Amino acid sequence: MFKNIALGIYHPGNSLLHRLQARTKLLVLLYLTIYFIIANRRVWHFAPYIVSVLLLLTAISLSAISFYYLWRRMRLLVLLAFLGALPIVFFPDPSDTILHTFGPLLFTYAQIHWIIYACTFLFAIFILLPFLPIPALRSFRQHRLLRLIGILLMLLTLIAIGILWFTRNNPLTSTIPVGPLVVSYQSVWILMTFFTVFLVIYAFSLLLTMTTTPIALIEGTTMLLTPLRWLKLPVDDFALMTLIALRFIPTLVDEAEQLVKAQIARGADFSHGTIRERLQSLAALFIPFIQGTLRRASDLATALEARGYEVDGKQTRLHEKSFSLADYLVMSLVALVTIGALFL
Amino acid sequence: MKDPIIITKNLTHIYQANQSSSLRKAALVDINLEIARGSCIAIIGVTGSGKSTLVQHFNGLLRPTSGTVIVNGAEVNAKGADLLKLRQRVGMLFQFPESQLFERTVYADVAFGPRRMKLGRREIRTRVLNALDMAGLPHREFAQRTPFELSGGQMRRVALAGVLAMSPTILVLDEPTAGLDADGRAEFYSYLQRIKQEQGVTIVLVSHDMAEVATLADWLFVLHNGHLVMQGAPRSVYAQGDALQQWGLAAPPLSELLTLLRKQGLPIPSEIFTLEEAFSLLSKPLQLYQEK
Repeated sequence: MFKNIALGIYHPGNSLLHRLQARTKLLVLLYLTIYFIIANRRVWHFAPYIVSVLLLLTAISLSAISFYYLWRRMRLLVLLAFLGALPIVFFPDPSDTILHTFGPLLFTYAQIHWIIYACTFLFAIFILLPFLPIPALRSFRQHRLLRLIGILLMLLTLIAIGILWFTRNNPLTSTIPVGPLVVSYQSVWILMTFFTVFLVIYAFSLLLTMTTTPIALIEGTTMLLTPLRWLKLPVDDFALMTLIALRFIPTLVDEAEQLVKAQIARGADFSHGTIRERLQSLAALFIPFIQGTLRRASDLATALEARGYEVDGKQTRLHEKSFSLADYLVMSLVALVTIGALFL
Repeated sequence: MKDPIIITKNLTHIYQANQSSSLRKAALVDINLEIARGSCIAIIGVTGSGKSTLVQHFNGLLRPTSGTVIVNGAEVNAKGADLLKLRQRVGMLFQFPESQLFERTVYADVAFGPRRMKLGRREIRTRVLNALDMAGLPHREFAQRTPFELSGGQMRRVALAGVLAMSPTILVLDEPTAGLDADGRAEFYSYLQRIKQEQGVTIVLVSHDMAEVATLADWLFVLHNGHLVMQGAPRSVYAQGDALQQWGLAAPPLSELLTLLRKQGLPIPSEIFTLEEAFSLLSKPLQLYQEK
């Protein structure tokens, strides 16, 4: 049951992106952020954005991660970005240069009524279809997407009835205007940059976490943060703490899972019974768990000391090695292409 | 086999079946087995061979990805199956069970299971005291002590008593003696032997060590990489030393010795397997040799 907790989203593999050092990927990501800030200063200059999207596509194809998985992770953000973009589309700045104007469209009430009748009719068919004695249709109805459509149609029908009620006194020949929708240079530019920057940066950070183990990521970060050591910041302690936490999360999860099973096998029940019984079951879970965690922590401290660990000693890295040819190649290629795009 | 108490049919279990293929891991592949009522069987395999996964299907802690598990005539993963009742019937002791103790006294800890079964106070008391005695912890001495100051072997037997107090008809023990010293092991198994004789429960042992279960089990199942690769009476399984080695297992030292002697040309029948049998047999040729 705890196996479903997503602890990072690392996808094991051996692609080019997997083999790059975590530092390289982090540096490229950082560089791209700065690159977008610079690119944003020249309005109506698309080359940097096109190049960034091309870079993203190359990276995805080199990462051996299917586009579908990436999309599944990104679709919520895309939806949010759309919602964020709505004000820009509907409330443009009047001082902008206008690119194109749609509408205004004029609808008569008679037309609107016809549309509403059609919707209601469709909805009625949708509701009535499964009652027909055809078994294929019944299982068809169980489909998730169809149920969603059903709910949407129901909402639409309710709204339609509301509209009919409120406009019942208006003459059928009077019209209501829809629009006009004004598209300005400014809004197109803002939308485009907003979307590209958001999606490209997000997709790149997804790629980073999908192709790098959390431990390598922490090591890479600490190596990049080494300059902070001169400011007497405890970079290494931070790294050790994070590494230990990361290392032990799966172990503790396993232990918790085992405990849950053991207590369930003994008759504990976390979802039924009186509050008193449930609390008892929870105690049966938490007391041994905390005890085990504390014991493990003290064992670990002893083990670290026994191996001669020192707080201010110099540590070696398990995953991060020196840059290879591929790392240098990737970094210089990204730099070359992007700088070229900036001056194009 | 007549009257099997546990049957699995084409049991397959895949961890993270809903994840991408790189994260999926088949733990059990097409397992078909039958366990006779009242027997004591052992499931043997190296770490990661799927033994723990297999036994967790017996009381519904895991659901098969495909296939069926039938315990006591009822299908475990059927809709509306009473899991609570099943878990009382199938008592399960996990690895390092001493880590599951949590109450202030041994008595309260053992009583946890029976209390959740909504038994009467008196019934709980007799069950707990009986279970403690059966697990070799005389209740006069141990009932009111704190479980955390007992020795490792004693704590483990407290956990065993906790399961016994629910009076299960099947007892599943997952590596019950891991981390105990030789004395603790022998002691644990002697109590288990007694439970087997007095209570008539079906015992399922999980182990990676053949020698350990040699005295207790009367049927062995060998798992390797999630496949059921061999089953049979201990005698016949132990005789296949080479095959066992291939699966990372070792036959008990005595069987190994007999196999070696057989290779040297001594005519030792393959069904010899206890120390007494071997001794009586080996002393005969020795006498012959001396007489010559």
